[in-house]
Amino acid sequence: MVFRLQKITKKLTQSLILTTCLFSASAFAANANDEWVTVSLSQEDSEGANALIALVRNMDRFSAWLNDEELGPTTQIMVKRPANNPEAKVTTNSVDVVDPVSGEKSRKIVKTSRQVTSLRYIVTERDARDPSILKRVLIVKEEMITEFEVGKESQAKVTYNYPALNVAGENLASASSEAYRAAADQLWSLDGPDCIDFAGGSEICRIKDAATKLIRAASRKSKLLAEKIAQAKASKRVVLDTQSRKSVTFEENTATGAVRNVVLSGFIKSPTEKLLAPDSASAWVVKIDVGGKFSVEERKVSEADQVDISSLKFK
Amino acid sequence: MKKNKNKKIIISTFLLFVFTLSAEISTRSLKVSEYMMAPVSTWADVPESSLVTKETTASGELGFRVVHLKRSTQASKQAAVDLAATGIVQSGDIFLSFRPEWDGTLAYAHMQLGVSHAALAFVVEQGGSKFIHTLETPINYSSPMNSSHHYGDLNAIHVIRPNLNNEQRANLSGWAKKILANPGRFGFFTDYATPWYKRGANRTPLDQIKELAKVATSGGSFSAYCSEFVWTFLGLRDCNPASYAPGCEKVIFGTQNGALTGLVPGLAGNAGLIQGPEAALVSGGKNETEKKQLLTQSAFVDILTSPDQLAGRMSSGHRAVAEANSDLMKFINQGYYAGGEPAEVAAKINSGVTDNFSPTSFMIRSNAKLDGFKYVGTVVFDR
Repeated sequence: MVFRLQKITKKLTQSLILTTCLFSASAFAANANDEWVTVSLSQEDSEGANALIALVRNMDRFSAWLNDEELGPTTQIMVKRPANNPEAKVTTNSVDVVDPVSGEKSRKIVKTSRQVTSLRYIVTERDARDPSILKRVLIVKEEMITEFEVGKESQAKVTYNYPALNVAGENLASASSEAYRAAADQLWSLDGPDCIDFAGGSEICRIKDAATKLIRAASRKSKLLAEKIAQAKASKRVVLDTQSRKSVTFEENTATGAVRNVVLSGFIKSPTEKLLAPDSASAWVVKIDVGGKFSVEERKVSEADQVDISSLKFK
Repeated sequence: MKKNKNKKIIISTFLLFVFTLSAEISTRSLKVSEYMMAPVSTWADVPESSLVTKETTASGELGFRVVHLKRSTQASKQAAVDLAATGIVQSGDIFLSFRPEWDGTLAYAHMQLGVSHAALAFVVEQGGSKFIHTLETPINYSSPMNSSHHYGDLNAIHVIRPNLNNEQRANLSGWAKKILANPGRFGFFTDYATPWYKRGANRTPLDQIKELAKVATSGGSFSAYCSEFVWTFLGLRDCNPASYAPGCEKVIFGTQNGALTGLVPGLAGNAGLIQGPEAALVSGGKNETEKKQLLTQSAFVDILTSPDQLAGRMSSGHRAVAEANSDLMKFINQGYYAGGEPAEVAAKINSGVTDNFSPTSFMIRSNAKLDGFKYVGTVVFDR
């Protein structure tokens, strides 16, 4: 297909990644005889789908923040969102990557174009019981500034206060195991509910295991992926799709939990593609195949699936 | 209430998903609120198939007949082959794109029962293979269920059956073949609030059926949004395409002009564009108290409003229409349903509504047991 080159007005993604091995074998490995089932992340965990799409859109910032290190095995990823209150009129989300073990250095904040993607640290209840970890986490946290983008027009920078952590920090000076435990009780338990109330009429929601796995895998080759995305921007073959519903599907191995064939749709489209109806979806998808290769593909009807209308017999 | 706002509400294509009702009243395959389900009393008889399960709520009066196709066949011709093999779909049936993810979002999306698009289905054969082929606008979406621009993103499809005899099905098949043979004559019209008969002076809904026949047989152009096209096409069921002469056209909805108004108090022999949830609950055996509670506390309520959270559930176009109608939905909730469904309020709302044919219309008529429409089943890709 030939595309008319067109100036891209959106500053983000338009990816087009050639075949790039992004995801480590461990995320995708499975035995040949295991059963694979297709999962719609958008239906099972819409917050997780949004978080993944936000990070892929902003892979350059994500990579810079990671400094080419992958997220650690203890990483928890959460989405901060407006509480489910239509009157609140709060419209931004944030994606929080929580990594108490590797959180030793100050890193840049990652941000998306529409939904804010901020990265910061918090400790889990279990980790908070280790004074050394808690101390390191608190130091990092206090140096951080989180950027919020409000709507599409304006931006605002605000310092992000984490009350629970601040309390824990105050207790740090007179540390005792009981004090740490008391502080930890105010933090989010790993065994707790999916969402907890947070300041400012918002709540923090844990994304589910599958999305966490995908994001963690994406962190492993983030620099390489960011480079390929930059190449894609320059190619101008695709642009950001602001119309379609966003969705993520993947295949999961029922025995090992491994994932493969991740497809992000509603994310990009060709510059010349017309999405006529409100229900239309772009034919272009971002895909990660069985081998962990990352590519941008146009869904096409196969030759075998094409029909000749003149030869159809209506029953 | 502004007139144009009222118009927008009723028409557009919309879809949804809800979690306001607890899991125990959801069906296994499609976890949505009761008012988005199909009343069992409206289900058509279909041949038995190993791919079909009946999934209902505890009362057994609301639910879905689920046709389970393989996930791997989604957006491929194989899905159309597998569906035809069940024998469940008949030529002239209506496909309604169903978005269960609209449940628990915006009131307008709830009102549309999660239905975002309408198409026609035909059983066809080619090279010894039987499969389903659709007819729809945008016309290039017409396909053996594999148009990348629609079926690649569609996880569930309701099948609704109009009341057709064999001769009528044969007529419609003939018209479908004529139209598919000349796709360039048929455009997509994007304004769901303005049906063809409102785009020119002194036109009636019946006139647009004649116009479609004229273009299909003699040339010219005819543009329509998806549900308008389906409604218009079904008006040709008594017309033989091989010997067409004006006069055989007949509207498919039994209303005064063939289109639907907004509200019909008490669902007295009729049902309006707003009344899909109400009709489902009434035919699903809910009493007045239960119905009022569900309509005012769940259906006509904006539940999820953040654009970021809605991005994974509906397109920006659907979201914009829903947001634009938020105030009207509140008025319908508080002014009409919570207020005891006063006729004067219905009349006020109807005065601002263009008689129309939304994608949900066909499910509304089925839910309300009108015009012979029946619910056949819901295709999902979960095997």
